[in-house]
Amino acid sequence: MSERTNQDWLSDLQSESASYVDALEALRAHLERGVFYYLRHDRSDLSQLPDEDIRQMAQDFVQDALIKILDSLETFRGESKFTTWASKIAARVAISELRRVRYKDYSLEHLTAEGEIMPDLASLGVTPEGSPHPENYAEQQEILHMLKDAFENALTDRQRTALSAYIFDGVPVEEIARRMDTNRNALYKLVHDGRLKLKHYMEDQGLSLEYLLSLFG
Amino acid sequence: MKITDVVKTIFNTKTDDITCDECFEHIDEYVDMIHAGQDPSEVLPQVKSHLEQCRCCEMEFRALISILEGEIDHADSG
Repeated sequence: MSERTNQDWLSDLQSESASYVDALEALRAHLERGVFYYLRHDRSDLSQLPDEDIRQMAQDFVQDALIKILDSLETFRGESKFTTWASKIAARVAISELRRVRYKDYSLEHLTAEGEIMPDLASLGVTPEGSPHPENYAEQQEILHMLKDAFENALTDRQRTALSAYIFDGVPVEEIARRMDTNRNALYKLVHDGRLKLKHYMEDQGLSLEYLLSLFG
Repeated sequence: MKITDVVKTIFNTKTDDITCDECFEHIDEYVDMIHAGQDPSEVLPQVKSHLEQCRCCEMEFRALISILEGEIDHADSG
């Protein structure tokens, strides 16, 4: 890895000389090493894939990232190393694509249709037999009813749908946003405001995190 | 998701949160400070708070750490 300064990277990648090609290929190789490492070492969901597939995946992600990087060079403010800034773009590209593939068959229909959106206690890992405090099971069921009331009474329809997907199905906000025709920031705000409403609703019922963790712990 | 994770998701929500884009804008500075042995939470407390609140950004943060680790590892080994 050459010791380019931030200014070197910027001027080379914005030049029309041979230094542009050198810098671009150096950055490509640098990012491909990092993205390959991430996919190979930190993604258990990809552990079955051979190295050559992972390498191809890393090359594809980095190619997409390079287009975004070159398009947004003017937004680099020099507050970090250039390679860290470029790597964060590669990280987002890689994760976004992996999420898109993972949730490609996910639909919000089961949350927007009439019917029960709250899972039962067993689906949330609580059963009389499996509970460390089986004598509290009736109380645990009561809390679930309160949570259900909170979902039904404290939230808007859109918040209920988004929060159900986020909390109970574990779907990333980015993927929920795609299905609700909005962007990630707006969806995050919708979910965040909904979480606060649920928190205040539960607190108004006299419930605290400490109490609930001890009850379900 | 377990019920304990559900209640943590609800009760750990803070009022002064930034957006995902604002977090993304500063995450490279945040990570560089960690690598420099500094505590970024003092300078960028809202980024730290957002990472605790947002699973998406937290996952991207961890991926960035890993990618940088891979870049450094291979650079060191030639």
